[in-house]
Amino acid sequence: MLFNSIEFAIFLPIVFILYWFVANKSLKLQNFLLLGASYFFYAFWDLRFLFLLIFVSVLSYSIALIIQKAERKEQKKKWLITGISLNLLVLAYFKYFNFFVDSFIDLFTTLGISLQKTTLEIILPIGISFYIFLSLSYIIDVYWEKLKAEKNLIDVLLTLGFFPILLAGPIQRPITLLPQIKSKRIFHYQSAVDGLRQILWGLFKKIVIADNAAVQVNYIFSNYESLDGSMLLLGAFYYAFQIYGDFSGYSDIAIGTARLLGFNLMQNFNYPYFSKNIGEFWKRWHISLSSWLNEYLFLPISYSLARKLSRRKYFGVRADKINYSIVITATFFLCGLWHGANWTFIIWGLLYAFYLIFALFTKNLKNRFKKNLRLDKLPIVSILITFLLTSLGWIFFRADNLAQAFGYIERLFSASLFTLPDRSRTLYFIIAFIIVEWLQRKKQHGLEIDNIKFTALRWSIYYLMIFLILNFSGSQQEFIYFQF
Amino acid sequence: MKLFIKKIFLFTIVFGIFSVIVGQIYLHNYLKIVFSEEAFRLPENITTVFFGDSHANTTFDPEIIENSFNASVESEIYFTTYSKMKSLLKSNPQIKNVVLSHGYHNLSFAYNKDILFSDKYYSLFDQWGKEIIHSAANGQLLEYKYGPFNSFFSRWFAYLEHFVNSTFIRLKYDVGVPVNLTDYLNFYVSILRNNPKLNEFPLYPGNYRSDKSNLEESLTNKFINLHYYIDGEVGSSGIMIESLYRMAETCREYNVNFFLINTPIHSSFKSKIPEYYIKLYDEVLIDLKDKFDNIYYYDFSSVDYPDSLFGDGDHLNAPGMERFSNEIKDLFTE
Repeated sequence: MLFNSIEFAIFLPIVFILYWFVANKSLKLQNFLLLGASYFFYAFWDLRFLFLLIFVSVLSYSIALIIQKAERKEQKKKWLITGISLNLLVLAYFKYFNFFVDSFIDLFTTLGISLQKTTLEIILPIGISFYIFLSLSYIIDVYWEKLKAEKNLIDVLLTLGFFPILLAGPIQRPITLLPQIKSKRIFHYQSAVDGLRQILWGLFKKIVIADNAAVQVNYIFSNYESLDGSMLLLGAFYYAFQIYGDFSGYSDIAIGTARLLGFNLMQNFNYPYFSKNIGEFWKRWHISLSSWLNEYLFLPISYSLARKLSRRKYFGVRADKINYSIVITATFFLCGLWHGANWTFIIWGLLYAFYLIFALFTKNLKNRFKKNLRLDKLPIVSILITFLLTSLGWIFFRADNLAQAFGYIERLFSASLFTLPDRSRTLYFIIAFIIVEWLQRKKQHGLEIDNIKFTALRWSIYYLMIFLILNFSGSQQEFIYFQF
Repeated sequence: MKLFIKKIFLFTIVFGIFSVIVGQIYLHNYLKIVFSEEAFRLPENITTVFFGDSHANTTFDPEIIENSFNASVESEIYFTTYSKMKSLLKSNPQIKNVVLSHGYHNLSFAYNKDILFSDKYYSLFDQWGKEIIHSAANGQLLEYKYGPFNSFFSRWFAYLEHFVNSTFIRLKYDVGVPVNLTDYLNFYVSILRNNPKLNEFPLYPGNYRSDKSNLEESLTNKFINLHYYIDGEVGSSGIMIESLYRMAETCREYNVNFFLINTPIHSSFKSKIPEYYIKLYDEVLIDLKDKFDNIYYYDFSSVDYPDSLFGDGDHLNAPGMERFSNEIKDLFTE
């Protein structure tokens, strides 16, 4: 079920009414209702894969309990490895099987060895990367004794299958979601109203910004060979806002929906295009994923590697810099692979690793440069450079294959870059959107306007948003992050 | 909670009242202008009008074929074409020839799903058309739209969704709730510019012209699937067939020649059309010819054009349209 569909507009009020008016007497009943609603929401896409979600959830539930009961550390570790492996196996089979087979065949073909192609018709279960990551963090947190294994199966099933975050995040880790599921929920008027505002803002971002930008992006990426460089630059710019509007819009709707039901989810996007460097960008973009990768991948590998690097310097380079470079490359390689089974995503990830390593090694030079040119007083320059670098990355992310990505970039950096591109209505929407986001950048979301005390003005803004959503919607597109 | 529900209720009521008032004003003016008899009036010299979907749109060039006008729209289904044709014939007694692109795909059940998308022509529909579009209880139509129902639940959900869509259509056109005002706004802008052109009407967007040619098998397969299959099944559309008969009847009523033209398609495409549709097509055509004496049928689907004249397997490109239009330009005067 799409958040921007009529079905969801019917589904959510029904769940809301049943949740607060019928099941409100009992926490168990509320959780049971939410679980049923979540599974209905997921089964609406494909009933078959609901069983996969249940399988993964039950698996994590059982393994977490076994880890907790195990007395010896080796036993705990053995079960941890089993749990992680089984989860990754499910992910690898459904998401990466064909990619690995294709890549191996390509590799052998390059070496002159011809292999028979035997890929399978595997359908990617929607949201699999998200719930597998939730499942992994549940098992790992139990192993690290940050979280107690939950005995109530319903609570675990709901933690891993909560419908607002089920398909495309935020990756709300069980360590923060499970305690909320176990606590009595109280309806907060202000929180619910702001939840509705956040849903409205998310719908605006998705339907008006992302879906309209998608029309331009599809045209530009399909015809990039015959368009001017300036148009291709605009195409990358449109895509930057398509993916931002799409994904952060989804997150806003998810967070707003959860707030209506009395849950608080983490902020997933914090105005990332106003970042002044790439490091900051990753602290503001898809925060739930970047913090997940940081906690479960970057830091553990980094500590482990640091113990192995005994010398202070290698080839004249400080060991901590080498450590950082290796770990950041591995993390972003996996980050790219998480996004999709395609080399374009991997290159996209590695490009960020390159940006960060380059920034590390040129830190002193950059600081001197900024100081001499007094760029510290002009943050807009850093914001623009960071935005251009991320937009360059988005070209790989959007391209169907590497040939298209490199062809696009080659044509972008041609003499025609300095011509005036065609402008569309979408561009004006995006400019207005940037202005609103800039003004609201210290708030949780762009429509957090409870500081406006005049009710008629607030309501007029809501009506305006509804009007824009109804009348300037692009053609309905699935959320991009569903495919991940 | 009470305050929350109260506010939501109030917000909805205010929105509803506001929407209906604004929507009625827009709708009233928009429909009055866009679907008025004047809006359908073509220049006096137009005696031949082309109808259909992208096939007519990429095949008949009114700049080459004298005294003609191309009223086709990409993806337009017969169900809509019928209503449009009726309105144009009513406003233009000078029309002598109606030319409809009639391909193997036009009677396919794969197009039933588009019936609800033709709602912006709602004001043009006769009673039959309105009944179809509101037919929430029409199980057969729903099955075409959603594919075979595999459970009791999916059938009832389809009914519910269809009912909601149908209610929306009523709200839009009978009550005037402003949904999809973009069309209206674009039209108002053209009026403000004091320059409303025929091709700014949603009814006549003008010909699609592209020099590109793409005969890749993947694209051909994509279109074959799109036109002819639902979940691997083939089937006919009773509504599209009925619309075709109604078009023939309308042409007879207005004493107009009704040309059915199977437009050029590439041999690689034609070879993939399921036999079912070719048989269905022939059967319908024989019956039509039996019943109506104003029908002229021309089959150009096997025309031997070089690959470079096809935009894709299913359509001509701009050079193809130019060549074809030159070759048939005298057909309607003979």
